[in-house]
Amino acid sequence: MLSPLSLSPSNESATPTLPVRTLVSVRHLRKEYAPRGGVPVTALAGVDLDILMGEFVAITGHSGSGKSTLLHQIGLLDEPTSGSIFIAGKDVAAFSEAMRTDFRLRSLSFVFQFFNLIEHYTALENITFQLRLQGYGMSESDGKAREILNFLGLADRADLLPKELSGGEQQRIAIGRALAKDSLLLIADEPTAHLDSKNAEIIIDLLKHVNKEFGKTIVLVTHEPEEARQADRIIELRDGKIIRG
Amino acid sequence: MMTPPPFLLLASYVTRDIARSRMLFALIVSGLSVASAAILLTVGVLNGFQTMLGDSERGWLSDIVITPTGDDRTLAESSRLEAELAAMEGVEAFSLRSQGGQILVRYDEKKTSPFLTIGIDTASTEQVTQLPSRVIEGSFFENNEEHPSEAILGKIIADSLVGSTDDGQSVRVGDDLYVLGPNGESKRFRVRGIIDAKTFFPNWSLFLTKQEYDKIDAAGRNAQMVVKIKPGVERATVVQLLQDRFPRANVRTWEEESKYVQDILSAVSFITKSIHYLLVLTIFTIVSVVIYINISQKKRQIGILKSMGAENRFILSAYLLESCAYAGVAFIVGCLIFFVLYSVSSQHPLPMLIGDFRIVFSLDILISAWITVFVATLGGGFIPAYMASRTHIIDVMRGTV
Repeated sequence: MLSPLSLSPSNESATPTLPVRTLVSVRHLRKEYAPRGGVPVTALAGVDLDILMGEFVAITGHSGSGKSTLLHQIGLLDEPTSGSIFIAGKDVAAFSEAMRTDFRLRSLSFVFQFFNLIEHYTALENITFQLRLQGYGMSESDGKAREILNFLGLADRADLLPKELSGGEQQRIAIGRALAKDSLLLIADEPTAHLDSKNAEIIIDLLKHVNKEFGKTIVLVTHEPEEARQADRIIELRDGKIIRG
Repeated sequence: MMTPPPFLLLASYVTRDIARSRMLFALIVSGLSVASAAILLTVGVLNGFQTMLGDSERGWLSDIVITPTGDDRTLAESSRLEAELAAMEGVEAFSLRSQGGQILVRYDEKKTSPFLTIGIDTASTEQVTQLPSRVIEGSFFENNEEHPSEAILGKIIADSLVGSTDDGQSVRVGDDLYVLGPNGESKRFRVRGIIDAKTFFPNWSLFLTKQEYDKIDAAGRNAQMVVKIKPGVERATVVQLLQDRFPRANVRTWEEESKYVQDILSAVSFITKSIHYLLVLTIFTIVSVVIYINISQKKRQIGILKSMGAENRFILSAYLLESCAYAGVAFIVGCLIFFVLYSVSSQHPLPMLIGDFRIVFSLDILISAWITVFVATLGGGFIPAYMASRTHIIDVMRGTV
């Protein structure tokens, strides 16, 4: 698969002749919360799930269905009560806290529902900062960040601070930043929750574009059926169990 | 190529973060610079007192003082002592004195008893003490001159012999006074000079030449040897050597001889050190509170950084660096404030009975204050910075921070 940092559309990644590989494999995943003095809550009740390399998966369901909990498990942000999670062949559920942190930092990227850009950095700097964190040099980062901004259609907004950008533009920068991170998996947690329908459509289109053009594996959590339909596959959760997908 | 995040990236992040909240930065730096200046000042004041009292005492006692033991009033082996001192490599100069306290001074109808009457060896005293330079009226005894019937009065004695000590009236140079020795004989002396040694005992003393003193009070002859040692020579070694060679003499440093100076310095030191430690605690607290408030307001941003791949050590380093930036700028401003005070103090020393007080500055003070401020700052910044580094990304995703 081509690195997204090359920013050259990959025909190979979309080629069906390439061997299909499972990127994420979840087995018998359970997550229970036991609030102090309260009744234990089962957020995930034995989930089995496979996500293929280069797939665009939407996880949907009503509030409290367990979709965010599942996302947190896949994103290694929370530990399961039982079950296993394999990402790129590694049993990440068995990882120590330090290994989880390291894997999360190196292999996963996130797009949040709150736009979550660094407020005192310009659009360009938000992306270059990501690249510099990964160890790229200053001029190299700058060049790649400008390429990403071009790809996002935001080259003319490079020097604006997040507060000077619209919500949609901010979220596009956040996606660009996630794209800059050389990760295996992009996790988007309701990225359109705070956008109007027009901007929401732009963001979903952009995610699709990233998935198709760069072969980036994307897991999108959304409660909007229309957005979910844009994905390759919809996984619907109810009461902590997969009822579709 | 993938390499660890460079320091420049960290520095750039911190600089931009600070620049975003300039007012906060200005307020923090103001608080910390005053505290830094106060830390420098407390050490400068303590050193100022030490220097002032030390200079005054050394001005008449020099470095080492040798006196008889027990009830003896005369150094038993003064000639051998002089010979040994002359041969010792670390000794720069020495001066033998006669002295006693059983002498009365009469001026007109008023009598007083000096704390000490000191017989000065005019040939050597200038090389050992600073008494000649402390004359405020008239002049000191000339080198190697006998000065029969001439006396020098300590300032307080001169004041006390006319009216009260603080009414501005005093014995004047050229006036005559009478000195009554232990043998009951009275002799007239002309006042040659008034001395202000900026310390208690010499200002309460009457100074005669050694030859004149020995005529009045033979029992107090050769009662004290004051020794000046060469710069860089270990004083304790010289003291020990002399003590070993002259077990029948008390060989002491000027500090041991003037214990009251140590008492004053201990009191001043206690006060200044208490203030000093409170200031260090203040800096620690200010930095802790500031960084804690700062990270409380920026938890979301910290979560974003972590989601971008910033490791805990990056966050920790960023906030420690931010603490250091506060401390660095504050210390520079604090130094400027201190140097203004130092400059004023140097140009206008505070005249006191025990000396002219001025703040003392040295590179040691600067380095120790710098270390103190930075240790307090790093200590104060560490816990909140560590807490910041533990921010959970999940909370950022949930939007709960």
